[in-house]
Amino acid sequence: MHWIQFRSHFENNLRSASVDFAKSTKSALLPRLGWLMSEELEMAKSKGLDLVHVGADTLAGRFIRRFWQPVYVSADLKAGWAKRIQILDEFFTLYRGQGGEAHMVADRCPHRNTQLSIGWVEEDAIRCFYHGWKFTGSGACLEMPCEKESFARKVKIRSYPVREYLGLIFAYMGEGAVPEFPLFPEIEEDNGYPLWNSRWELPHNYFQRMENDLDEAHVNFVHKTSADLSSELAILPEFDAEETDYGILRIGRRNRGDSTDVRYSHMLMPNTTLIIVPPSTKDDMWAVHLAWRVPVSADKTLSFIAGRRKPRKPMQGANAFAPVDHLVNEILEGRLRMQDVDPEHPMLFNIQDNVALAGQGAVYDDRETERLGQSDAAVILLRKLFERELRALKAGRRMKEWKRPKAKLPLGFHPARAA
Amino acid sequence: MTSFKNSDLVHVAPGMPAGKFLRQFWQPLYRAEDIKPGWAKRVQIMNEFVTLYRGEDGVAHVVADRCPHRNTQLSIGWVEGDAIRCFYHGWKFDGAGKCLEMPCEADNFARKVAIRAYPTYEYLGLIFVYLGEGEVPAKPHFPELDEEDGILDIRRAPLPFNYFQRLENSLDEAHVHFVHKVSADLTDELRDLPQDFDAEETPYGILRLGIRERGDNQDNRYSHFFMPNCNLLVVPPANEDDIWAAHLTWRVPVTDALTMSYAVERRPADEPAKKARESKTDHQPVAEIVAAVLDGRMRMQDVDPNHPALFNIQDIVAMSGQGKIYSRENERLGQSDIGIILLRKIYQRELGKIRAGRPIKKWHRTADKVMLGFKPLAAE
Repeated sequence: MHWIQFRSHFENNLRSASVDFAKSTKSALLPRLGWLMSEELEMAKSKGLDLVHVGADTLAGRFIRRFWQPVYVSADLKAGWAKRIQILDEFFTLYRGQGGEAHMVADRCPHRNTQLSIGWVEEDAIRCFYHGWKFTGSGACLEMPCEKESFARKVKIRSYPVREYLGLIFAYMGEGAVPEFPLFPEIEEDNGYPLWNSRWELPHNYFQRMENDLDEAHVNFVHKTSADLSSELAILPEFDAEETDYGILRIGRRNRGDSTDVRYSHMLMPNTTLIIVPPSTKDDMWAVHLAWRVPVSADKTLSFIAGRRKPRKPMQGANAFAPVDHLVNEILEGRLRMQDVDPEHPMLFNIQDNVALAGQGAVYDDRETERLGQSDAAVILLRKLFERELRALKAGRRMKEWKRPKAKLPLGFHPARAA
Repeated sequence: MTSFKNSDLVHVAPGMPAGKFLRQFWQPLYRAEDIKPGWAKRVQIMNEFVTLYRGEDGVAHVVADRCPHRNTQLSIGWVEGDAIRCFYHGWKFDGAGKCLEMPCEADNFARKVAIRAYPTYEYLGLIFVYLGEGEVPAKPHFPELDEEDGILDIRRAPLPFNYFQRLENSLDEAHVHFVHKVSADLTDELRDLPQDFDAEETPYGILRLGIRERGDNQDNRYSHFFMPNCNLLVVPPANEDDIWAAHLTWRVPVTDALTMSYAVERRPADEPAKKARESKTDHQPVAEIVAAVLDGRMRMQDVDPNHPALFNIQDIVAMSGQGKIYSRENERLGQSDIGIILLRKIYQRELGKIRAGRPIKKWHRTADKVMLGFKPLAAE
């Protein structure tokens, strides 16, 4: 899809966008050179705040748990099956009842603490493999063979609200009132291409990955071979980032001589990216791409994607491609260079990003020693928002109620408008 | 014989006494032939990482490990001309560490940013680097290996223990008859143990002598230790196909528990042992043999005497037996340990100066070749 098509897509969107949104983007359209003040730089270094650990008792872990998170690809969980999954440094039992409904409950049976996922799915419930205690999707104990019924009634396991959407299974692992489930009309809309999903394990910390998502400048270097294929990306942009009701609006402004345009991308708090990604190879396309970067542990992240695009080449088959992790390791060890990787590799973007981020270390936490510039505006803003929210959470203060507009968010390249 | 602080000897990170001392000398960092023009490698040396790259014009450079912007590993970037460009956001640095380009940023920011760069020198098939502060010392020079004929045989071998154990072994003439017994038995020169051992401090380090009575004659085996971690000697043939060869070797700490050995020999271009070494892949890996011997699944006498890395296997077994980072506790040193005792004394003295912030001895060698191998005693 050519970016001109996105221009009309944008104009449709502008007409439907809420007044609030138009207001919030207005100042973002102004050039903001010299935006960085030393005070903001200090803030960006997030001194003393732990952004990388995500267990249930950490600030970042508690913060991210206050939002619905994808935990599995719907198609990968068949009826009658259970899986043990790790999310946010915690294990859970995810199962699909024989009727097709997905449930998420505690990792272990409360009796002798064995892993529940090795048990039997019976109807819509799960029975422990060890001594047959049986629990419903809402955690109630239905049967406790060899024990009195009154005992069974006293025992309960934790269960989590679950919802399936855009081919993914989402769960809410936080405390308190369950927030409204965010919808994404940008992906719901049938653009003529199939809905696709993926779940990739990334061997680095989630925050590095999110910073990378907000980093417009890296595209021309890390993804150079692909960027060179798109005339839209031929020049380096000016950068801007703006806090919105839902998170961050990221803007790359390109002056093309006779015209100036802006590329819009979005980060929805706390870990969701909505963007149009460029073609990675000649026969690829610009495609709408919604990605959640879900922490598994400090050094691992699951990337869940829902998008609509022409399918890329399969990894396996007649012309199997080398595994991503192998190529990344070869490059880090100096036995292969980035330019030696097959440019047709269907996971090219992943390989490139994984190399750049592995170079920072698997759990990057050296932010205080960085030299940030104006092109890091969005990265700095992300850190500021996390810092502000985590400090509020720590102090028990009210946190911002993030909310996205019902209408589609503008995406991709659009003509710049006068302020 | 001399009191010493073992922790001072074994720790090599930048702030540690031995780390500071070793950094005041040129050190080999890589084999020249292992890095092609247009390639970059992340290399660990003395508990720190650096970026080694070879410009498209063939000149090797050593700069900081990470880009100062978002701290990613520079070696994954692109070599462009004689400079390296970071993979992440394209900041471009020359071999002197200057930022040449900072796309997306204002020029005056680029001018303020520089990365550390280290003097680099290629010699005898090795890439040397100077990691220290202050004035750069004279470049390494070994006329003993500078001959035109023959070929340089350059080997790089990881040793899974602390560098100082390896240095001590290099100064230990007596171990040859035991650790390398199968080889020593092949030569007339080494069949007998030396009657006496001597070691003396010189302007470059240590002159080591093995004194042998041979009927009417007495001769000395001359070997040399160049401070702080370089050894020059004539090594006996490992097996029947092999030859005596001048052998220059550096033991460079990678971490406190890992050492990289860089060895240079000049050998006849067509000698058969060279061919045996080249077919190394046919032999059982060194690490596998060492593990089997240490675990008691194999004995030293069961190792193939024609293994091309025989000396290495024997030494690694002996030194692994001391532990990865040898404590030097409860030793019983004798007269045959004179070279080791002198080495420790010199290190203690020099590290004492480092701790006190005083200048170390100005170590230097003559421009002429040093005497090597077996010579009559009168020659001294």
